[in-house]
Amino acid sequence: MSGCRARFALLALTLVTAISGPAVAQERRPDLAGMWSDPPFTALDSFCYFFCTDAGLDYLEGLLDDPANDERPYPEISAEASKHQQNQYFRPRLTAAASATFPLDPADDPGFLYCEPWGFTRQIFAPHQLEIRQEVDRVEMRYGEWDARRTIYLDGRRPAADQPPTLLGHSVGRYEGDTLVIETSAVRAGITAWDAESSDQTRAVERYSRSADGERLLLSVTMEDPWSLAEPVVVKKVWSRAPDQQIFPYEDCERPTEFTRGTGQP
Amino acid sequence: MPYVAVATLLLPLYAAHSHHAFSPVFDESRTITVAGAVTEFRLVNPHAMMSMEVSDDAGNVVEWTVEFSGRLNLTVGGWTDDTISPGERVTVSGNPTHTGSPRMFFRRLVRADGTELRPPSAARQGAIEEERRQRARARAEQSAPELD
Repeated sequence: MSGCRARFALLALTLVTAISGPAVAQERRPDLAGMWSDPPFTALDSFCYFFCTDAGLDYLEGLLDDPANDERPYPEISAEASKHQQNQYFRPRLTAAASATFPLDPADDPGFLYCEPWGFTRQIFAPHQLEIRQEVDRVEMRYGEWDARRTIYLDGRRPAADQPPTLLGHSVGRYEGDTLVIETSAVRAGITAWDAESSDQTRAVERYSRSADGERLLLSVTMEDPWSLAEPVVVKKVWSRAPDQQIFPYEDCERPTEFTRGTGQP
Repeated sequence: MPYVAVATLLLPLYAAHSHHAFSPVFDESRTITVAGAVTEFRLVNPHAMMSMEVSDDAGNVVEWTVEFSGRLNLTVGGWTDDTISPGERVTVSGNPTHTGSPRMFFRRLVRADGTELRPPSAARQGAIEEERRQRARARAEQSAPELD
């Protein structure tokens, strides 16, 4: 091929690529972009303010439907449903290794003791703001809590074999219809939102979609960890659309000057 | 008004979901009330902080610290840096520490003019209790016998 033809071929290839874009750009994708924050002011949505499970939601709904509970304040029955969720959903799914310390004493939380930012297994359920930016080749997530940021690669790249585990792990994503599916691995050992220990063998599949009316962002996570979980757990969360909210600096964490052990939920 | 201790059950809305280790420091089963003058209010993350001077029964001035949820949460309820001003005389109720130190977690503030300030979670709890009353009414209507 002459130099002229070679240049023409290269130009044609460049034009085709520029017009069609990379493969990831051609997928239809749901619009998840923008600012999301705490869930709507309903009893069931509020139960998923931090995280929830179907087992916890079903139990809460039973309490709400029972006239005997009409005079009990919501925080009291919500706490009962949380306790049920901890003991009837999470506890039976833990390995002996994780059961030994479950639930962890909140006074031993490194975020509390040393102002250490949360790891993956807690951060993805963080209350308050979640800002999502959808780019052609990646999704950027920024959380209000700890001002944590994640990049989810849409080009399928895998972590290097020798990449050490990180706080928020390595995430690759894809769109399946109206859902953003994210697979995460290479996370550092840490503490889950439900106060159990987790290991660096944790793997998670997150599924994000919008509710039918578009006003809620729904998350369902399937989490596996052969060290801490005898079987996978499915954990959920809800946000509301919050275009007027913003994320502020997170730089005034102070280590506690006093605390008492043994005050956590049984 | 000096320091007043009130034994009462005041569960926060997310008792089991405290994500910044509330329970090792504060006793959520009790509330206390103090009155005094605000010396500083800082709307920051992860917890907003207020300092105030409170006179005890012996007439000594004690500096109290009031801890709030963070700016991320309070701004959702419309709070700004100026929501509480130094020099204001306020009466504040909240959960005391386990140790009895001059510190509390904020639940309610009453200004000198009688207006109140509550955490944004109070609006959520109010809406949920209204939803529950509607649910109870609907249940009662469904179970009531039909009259000819």
